[in-house]
Amino acid sequence: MVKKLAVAIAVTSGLLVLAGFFFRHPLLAMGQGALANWATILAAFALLLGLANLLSFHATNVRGRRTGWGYSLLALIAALAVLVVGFAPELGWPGDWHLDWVFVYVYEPLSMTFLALLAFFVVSAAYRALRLRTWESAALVLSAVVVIVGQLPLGYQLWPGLVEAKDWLLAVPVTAGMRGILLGAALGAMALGLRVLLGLDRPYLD
Amino acid sequence: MALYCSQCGASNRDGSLYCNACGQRLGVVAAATCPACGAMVPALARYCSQCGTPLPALAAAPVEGEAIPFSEEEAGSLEAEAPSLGAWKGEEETGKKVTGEPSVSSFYPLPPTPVPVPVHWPGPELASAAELEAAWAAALAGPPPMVELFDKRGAWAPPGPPEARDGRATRLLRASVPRLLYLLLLAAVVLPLAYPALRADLVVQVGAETRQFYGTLESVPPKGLALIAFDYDPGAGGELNPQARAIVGHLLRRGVKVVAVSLRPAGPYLAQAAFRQVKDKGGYRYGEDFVDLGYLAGEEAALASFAQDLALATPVDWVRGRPLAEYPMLREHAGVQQFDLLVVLADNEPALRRWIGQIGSRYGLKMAAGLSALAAPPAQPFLRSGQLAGMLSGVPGAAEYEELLGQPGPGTVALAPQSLAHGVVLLAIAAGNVALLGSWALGRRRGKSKGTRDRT
Repeated sequence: MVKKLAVAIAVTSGLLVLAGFFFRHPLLAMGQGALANWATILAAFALLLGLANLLSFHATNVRGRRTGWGYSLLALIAALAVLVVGFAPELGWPGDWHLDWVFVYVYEPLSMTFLALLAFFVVSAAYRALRLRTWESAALVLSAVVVIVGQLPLGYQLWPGLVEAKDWLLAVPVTAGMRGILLGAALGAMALGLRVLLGLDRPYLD
Repeated sequence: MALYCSQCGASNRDGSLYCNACGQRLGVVAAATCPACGAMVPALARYCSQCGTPLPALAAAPVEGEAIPFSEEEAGSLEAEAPSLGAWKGEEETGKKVTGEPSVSSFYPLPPTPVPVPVHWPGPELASAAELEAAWAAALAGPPPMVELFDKRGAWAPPGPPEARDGRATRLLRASVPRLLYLLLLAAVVLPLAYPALRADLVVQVGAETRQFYGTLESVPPKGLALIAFDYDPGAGGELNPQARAIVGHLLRRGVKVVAVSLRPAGPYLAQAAFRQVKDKGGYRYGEDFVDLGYLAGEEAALASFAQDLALATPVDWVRGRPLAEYPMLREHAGVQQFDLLVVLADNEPALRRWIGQIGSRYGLKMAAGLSALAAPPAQPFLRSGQLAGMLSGVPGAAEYEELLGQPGPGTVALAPQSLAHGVVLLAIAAGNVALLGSWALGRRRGKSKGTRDRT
């Protein structure tokens, strides 16, 4: 009985939101807006739950001296430090620079550093993977070279045709491939959406 | 994280040295040799990873074939001398007669539990009982030979056949080329930033996509309202911060009011950085010329809610925490329909797709996008279909846009290091293919010399 009620609520909510996309009616818009707001509030609570889960996981690691517990300790200290800094105005600390400072001098440099490492992986992959072993790999290497050179000022200075070739590659084969992927994914999403709306798939009961 | 035994597949705790089910040393794989190409393959592999040849059958499914001449008396005496041989599945399955060709050419460890292991059996050339006995004795004398297929750091490094092993100079060259490329990459990025003279001669050619983007922003009327979504992480800031700064500056100079919002927690800080960089130059004021609505939690649901009623989704602004109705530029704007333009700054295509699906297509809002180089190719269909009225791509897009604005900035500065870094990538591709040609030539020469030895 409880399951049937849950399915009924889920299906009704889903249909209401779906109908709001197709029909402009104040009642539908109101229902849709209310549901969207509930989802937003739930998402905010999910963030809190995620934080609690993360802290609990790392605290267990530290307490049990599991492998890599030192990193868990660092994660705990970092999380708690940012939390305290975030509550600084409520704690009566002067100024409003605290979280900005953490973002500008800690988070941003770390994030950029990690992504910058990708450049070295790209060079390594270019050295190891982009090799002329077969006709297919030759096409891949040629496309990569054309796009890399054509995207730079140097490419235009070398030969303007390279830029045109790069534009053609992006406009025709890449767009065609991406359209195929997007359409396939959209059809899959529609099929999955219908299954959920009809109560055949019930991930919310798992 | 669990470790899985290469011999029996059992799950072991992280850090285990030996399998808790069969005693196999973890990280060491008993290996066989592919009968077709000679490549080393892990035990229990069904197909060769190099040539795809089906590998010989396991003991659980003995190979049908011609019986090796071998009397029951001989087998009986051998069994009496070596009773523990019963642990070898080959004997269980084949009884007193040995059938088929030898399935693998290397020894395998004896598992204490009855798990399927490949048959080890001396080859047909060992036809006599004495030879069989000697082979069994050798097998029982010590642990079966194991092949280290991983190096000290745990990387997959199977040993090649002796004749294919490289000389010291080749190994040194192979190890040093990637390191040299890394050093070149570092120099390519650092030197143009340290010495401006190195980036002086770059001529920025403005592409059609950037012109289209510029035209879209120019089409927004003065006193109009533009919404900018800062949906990227600081990691992509190298590409998107210059774009953000140029776009915000362009709109504010034209007298367009700018509202920032983000579906990423870091987005509001990035928006603040962009506003900070341009506001002092033009004397723009927070609340009159631009407002930051901050972070929206809840992804697509939050977007749907935001689209219907800004004040319901974000009751107060991010910087001052005041109700939106207190800002004159937002007083008359209930939903997103009232915006003249939406610009999405994103480092991945799904983030852009969310805005297109929930707002651009649904409310018919004119959209443009500033994307990282990674996100731009997958977003091409949206540009071709007209769902995007313009698109900037990565650092080149930022530099071209700055060129159109006549104000070279961080995008133009970043173009030189990026160009040189791309040159290093091209060099890496060339080096990899030279190495491939070298290994082919080396292999051919070795093949010839081996053929000569065989003939002699």
